[in-house]
Amino acid sequence: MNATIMCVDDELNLLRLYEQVLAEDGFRVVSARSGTEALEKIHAQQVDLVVLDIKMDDKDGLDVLREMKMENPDLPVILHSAYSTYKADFKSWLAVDYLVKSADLTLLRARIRELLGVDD
Amino acid sequence: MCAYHSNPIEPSTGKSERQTPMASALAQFDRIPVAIFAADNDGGIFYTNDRFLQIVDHGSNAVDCCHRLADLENLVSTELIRPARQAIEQRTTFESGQFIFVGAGSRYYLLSISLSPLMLDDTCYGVFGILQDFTETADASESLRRRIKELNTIEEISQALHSTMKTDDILRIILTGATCKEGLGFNRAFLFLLNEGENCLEGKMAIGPSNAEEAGRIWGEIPPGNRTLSEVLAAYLQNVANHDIEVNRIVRSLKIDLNALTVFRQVMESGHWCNIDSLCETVVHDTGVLQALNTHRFAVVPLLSRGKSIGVILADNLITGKQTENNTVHLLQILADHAASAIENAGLFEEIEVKAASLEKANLKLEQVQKQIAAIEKSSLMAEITYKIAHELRNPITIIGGFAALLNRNLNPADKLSEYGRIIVEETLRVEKALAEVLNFSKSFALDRVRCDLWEIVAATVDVLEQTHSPVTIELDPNDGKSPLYIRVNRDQTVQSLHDIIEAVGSCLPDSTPMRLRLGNYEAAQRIELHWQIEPEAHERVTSLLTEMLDTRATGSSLRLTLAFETVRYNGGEPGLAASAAQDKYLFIEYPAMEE
Repeated sequence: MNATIMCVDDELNLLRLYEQVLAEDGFRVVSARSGTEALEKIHAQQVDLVVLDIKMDDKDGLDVLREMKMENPDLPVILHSAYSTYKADFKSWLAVDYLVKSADLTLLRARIRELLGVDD
Repeated sequence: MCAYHSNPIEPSTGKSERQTPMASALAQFDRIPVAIFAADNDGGIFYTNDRFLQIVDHGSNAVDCCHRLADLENLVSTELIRPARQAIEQRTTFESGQFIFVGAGSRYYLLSISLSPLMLDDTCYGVFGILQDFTETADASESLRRRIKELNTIEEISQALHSTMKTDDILRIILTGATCKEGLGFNRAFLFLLNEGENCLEGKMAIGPSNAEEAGRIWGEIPPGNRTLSEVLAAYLQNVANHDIEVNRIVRSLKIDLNALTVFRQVMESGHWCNIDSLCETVVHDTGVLQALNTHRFAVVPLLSRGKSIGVILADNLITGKQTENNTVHLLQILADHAASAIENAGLFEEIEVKAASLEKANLKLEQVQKQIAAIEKSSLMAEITYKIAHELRNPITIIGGFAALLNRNLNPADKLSEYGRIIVEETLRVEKALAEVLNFSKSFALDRVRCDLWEIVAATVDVLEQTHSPVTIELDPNDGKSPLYIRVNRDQTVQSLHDIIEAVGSCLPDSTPMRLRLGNYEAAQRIELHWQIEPEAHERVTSLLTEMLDTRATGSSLRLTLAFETVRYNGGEPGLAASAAQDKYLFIEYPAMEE
């Protein structure tokens, strides 16, 4: 239960929601409000999984994904976007999953647990 | 012929010794072209020159029938004795007015007589008379007047020709100008135009009577009096309109073979007119045509346009039998030259009109296509905006719903606040679902428009109708070609909308009425036509129902059909109702054609 999850999104309230929900699920959460911040933080500490937004102000999430995977090919990254259209972009195929944002976080939580090998 | 009279010259003084010098003096007038005579103081004519005898002589010696002034006075019916006496006694001159005189060979002359005293050394020997002949001057004057009138008429006809661009009107004006009294005055005129394909002249139009009886009727209907040419043309045209005259019917049935060597071919090839009165021995006639026209003396002039003969005008004087003067044929040629130019102009004008109409049609179509493209762009833009807004909403909804769920999880289910949290979660999920539908809809417009073959869309639609066991019977027109008809649409939406439209039309028709689908390219559009055959009494009801369906403001039509038509429009298409050649109504949908 000590797995660390990095959540990357430019929406502060969404980050707060992830922090709260995932903390309740027993994870340690590291938040980043931009792609640049995420890449800096990932160098500084061990991260087991990343939940990554695509459309952000400073840096495109797909580029951030590419850099993260270049650094650590085994790092599981879940793309979590309001847009479904990026599924067609082959750059998104580097991610282990692509989920469309929803108020119902059940699917996201289930996928994280599955990827981290955590039992319900 | 002797010009001297045998009468002795007796001067008023009675001196006969002057006779010789007087005779010598008068002899110098013997051969001049003016008629001269001299009478003594007793009125006896003692001298006449050659010209006088030419006019007065009736074949015998003029002096035998014209010894005295009194004889001449009787002959010309003009007073001469009294003025001669005055000339002798008062030394005055006299000039008569012009009078008509029937002279040698019963020829008419227009004459006047001048008398003056015959003086020599202050002695009066009688009177000296001059017979002035105005006949030729009058003839020339009359001829000139006629020619001026004809030229003025040609000028007026020319102006009339250039005032119209309708070939039929031009042809009528030409023939009217050739035949009207105020024009060239031919009894009849026939127009033949070249058919290059068959190398023949085809009769197009004619004006004039075919016999004396018809002439009396036609000419009798034309009001008398001085009229302007436009009035004459109007009267003639009205007259022609009232009666489809025999010659007009005859000429339309005639063809002149230009492979045979006839006067018509000669005129066409040489470009010179021909007056058959003077050339009848040297030309070969097309006997069939001339028999049909019942003419043997006629004039033929070519219609020359830029050096090329495009037809001929044949004119004759069948009714009056009047000989056609070459001068008149020459004028007819001038008229024909104007006519040829007017015909060519009219042809060009008609060609331009056709091209302008086609251009206008193409412009309208282009405008329509531009509107459709604008509509597509507009709907694409709207879809894109909707798409962006939907995404912008997704984040806050996720946050609201997420926190509500989190809150709910931490509250006692029995707590009232827990129920509120559950309601927020449910409503958030409902909004999210609606948002997903909007996103799917807008995404299809913005992104899913692809090239499709209309044939494939129709085939897919027919499949859907069969699979859903639709009561509608659809047949594809076997005459349509199968070449691809490409359009740029959302395929699924187009299949769905076509399916809905066919079903809705089917519901308007009486039971078991089969519908026939026709597909084809119509200018810049690919078109689907939906035809049906119903009893005439059902037409009005069906048309009314369909018109209501097509009216986008109508509220009576079903939402499904309204959406179907709107979907067609969103995809750049345009539905409409039209009537076939048999006046049966049919429905069509047009999409902008896409290049292969």
